[in-house]
Amino acid sequence: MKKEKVYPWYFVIGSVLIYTILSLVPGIMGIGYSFTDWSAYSKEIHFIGFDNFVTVFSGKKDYLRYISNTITFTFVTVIFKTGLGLLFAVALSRNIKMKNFHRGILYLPSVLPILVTGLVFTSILNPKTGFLNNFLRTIGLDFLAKKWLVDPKIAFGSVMAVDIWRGVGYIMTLLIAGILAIPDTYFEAAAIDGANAWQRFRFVTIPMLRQTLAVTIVLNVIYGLKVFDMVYALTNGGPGHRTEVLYTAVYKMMSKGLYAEGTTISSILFIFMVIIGYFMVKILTKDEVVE
Amino acid sequence: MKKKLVSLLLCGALVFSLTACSGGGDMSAAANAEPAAAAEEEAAPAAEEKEEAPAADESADAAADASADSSAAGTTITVMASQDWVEDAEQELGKKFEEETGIHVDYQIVPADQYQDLLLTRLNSGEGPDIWGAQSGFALKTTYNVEENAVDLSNESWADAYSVFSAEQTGVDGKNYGLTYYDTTTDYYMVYNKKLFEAAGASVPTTFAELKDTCDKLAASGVTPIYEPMADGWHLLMLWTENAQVHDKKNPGIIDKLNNNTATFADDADMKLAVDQLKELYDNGYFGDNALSDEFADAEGYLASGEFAMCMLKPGAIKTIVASEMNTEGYTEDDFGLFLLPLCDNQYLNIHPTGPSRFIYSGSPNIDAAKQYLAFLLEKDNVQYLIDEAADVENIPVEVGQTPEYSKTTLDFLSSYDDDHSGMVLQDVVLYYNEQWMDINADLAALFIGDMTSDEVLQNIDDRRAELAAAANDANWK
Repeated sequence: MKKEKVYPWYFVIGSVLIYTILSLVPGIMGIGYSFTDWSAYSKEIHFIGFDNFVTVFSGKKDYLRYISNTITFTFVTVIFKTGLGLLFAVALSRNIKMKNFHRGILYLPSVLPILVTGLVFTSILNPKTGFLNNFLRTIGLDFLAKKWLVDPKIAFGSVMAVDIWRGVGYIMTLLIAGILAIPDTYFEAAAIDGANAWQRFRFVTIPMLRQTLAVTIVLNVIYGLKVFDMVYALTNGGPGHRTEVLYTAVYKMMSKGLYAEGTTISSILFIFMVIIGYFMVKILTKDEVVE
Repeated sequence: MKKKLVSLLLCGALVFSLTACSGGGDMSAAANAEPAAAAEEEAAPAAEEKEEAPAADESADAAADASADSSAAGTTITVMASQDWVEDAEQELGKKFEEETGIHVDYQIVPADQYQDLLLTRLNSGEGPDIWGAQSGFALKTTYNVEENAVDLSNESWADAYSVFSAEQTGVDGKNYGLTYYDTTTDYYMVYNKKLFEAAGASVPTTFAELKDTCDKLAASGVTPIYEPMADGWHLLMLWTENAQVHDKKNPGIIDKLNNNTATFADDADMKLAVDQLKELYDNGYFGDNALSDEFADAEGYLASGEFAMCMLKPGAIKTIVASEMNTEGYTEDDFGLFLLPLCDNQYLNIHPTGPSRFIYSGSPNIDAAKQYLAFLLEKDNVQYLIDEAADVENIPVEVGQTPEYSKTTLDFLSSYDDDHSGMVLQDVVLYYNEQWMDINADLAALFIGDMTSDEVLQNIDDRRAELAAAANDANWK
């Protein structure tokens, strides 16, 4: 029997050290600072207990709305990105014409910098001069021309739609890799047993993709909770505060020099993400088939 | 191979098409000014044609300083500013500066709605640009920590030529840290199209009731009354604060009380009235259908087109309006006039000596080169070049022998208000107010879309003032 090779423990020293210095220590310090009055206006830092947390959850400064917006953004974008990504992945993992071309086109938005995408779309979605409304007017669909980024009723939806457009290709790519890793024999066996396309998708593809789906969903949830640049570039939280999310609020707090309040929100988000990530992985990988 | 090539070309085309349609942002900053009472009578007519930046031999006196230190040659200094704070003429001067000194000037111009956050993030993280722009005034000490983040410029060669009023606003505790390089000799006023007013049978309003009547008449004539560029996130608040002198006149001592923390915005009926009147203007449709997405950069064009009848602008903007390619009606400078927006029936001229100013970052490795640049800008020929070439600049707050270009409209308008009928704008006299400029603008937008009430807007101002005061350890807030 071949003995399993175990590398010496000191092989990990380098990476643990880098992780500790660059990630763990600043993270813990950030949580620590959220219990202080650290700001740019005073050189002294005082311990103030849970005051910053009370401020965030008291509802006085609209943070509850930002939390709600962040969760809505995460929920909606994860569902649409995953759903559409899965749809495209299934379609483009078959032998269809120009499938690489279609994959490339769908994946392309993901490689564009988010800020660039955001700035491009602020121009496209301008109600007066934007390409989208001009196009709609040209083809006689004037009633569909909207104030995409400034109408309070649809601004947040527009932001989410742009983000879904940008992210769906990435999810699709991960899921295509997952689908292609499923041995053909499963599909062949199901077909021989009389399973139709939907049944093969439901009882073969989905279960075999569970791990990949878990990874993509967790990644997207974390991305959604941390969303900043897309909102910043498209609306900067407006109109009013209608599309403000937690990290745009953190950015504004930090840039005002109110560091402690900013780190408090970051800390809350960090705890959220750890909890959500843990349970999602747990749920999505439950009953996983171990080979 | 062919497939790959096609894919590559398609990818390139898509990226190109996406980037090609990106529009420019814009904005500038808030107001400024200094009593333009000193407005030179010899105001020269605006230069009609584009001149080249003064040749090297023309600015020899200035170049002396700049070229004296050749050790900086080959370096690059960064100038970070909000959009509209850097005129094209200054960028031309920057090229000239490079020719003379070998120092390259890299202008980092940021959309206004993002500028302050970005600048403060850089300053607070110790990564400031060599020269940074900021509004002068109270906020320099609290928001920008100018004593830590900027170099003392009190003894620069141009210090004596720099306006005392401006030096007070860019200084802290007797030291001057900045240079106001902006036309603060006038402020923002309502620029209106006389022909459109006349055609609508509207007159210049002096009360809020008259303003509504004027707007109704303009709207009835098919013209949108007021161009209000809210997308940039800084302009809207000016409609109030540049016309808030009336609060102190009606209620003497209110400013001191606000600064002593014995009065609040939320408890002041006049402040509430001003905010409510702003909302009324919006609700009545006087700002048009797209105010939330309208941008400041388009203001002059829309006024030139005759689509809008008025906008709060600096008087120098009239030249730009007339010169705009959207001026298809052939409007001349005489077709535009100035008046004060009568919010709360205000008829007191706004004085605003603060404005976008330049500061040299204390952590910059290129402090000497940055100082050279500022000295270069203030050479007589270069100041004159800015005034001649930047249509909306009539003068800047230095005296180096330049000839200002105040129009007759500007001079007539300013001379119609005496000292008793003028006052400093709110952001120059109320502590912890200018620091939250963008926040208040966002709150006003929220008010317009029904997410907040005027009471909440004013309460937020008080809350943020308290927060800033507490962070600054202000004894009046303890």
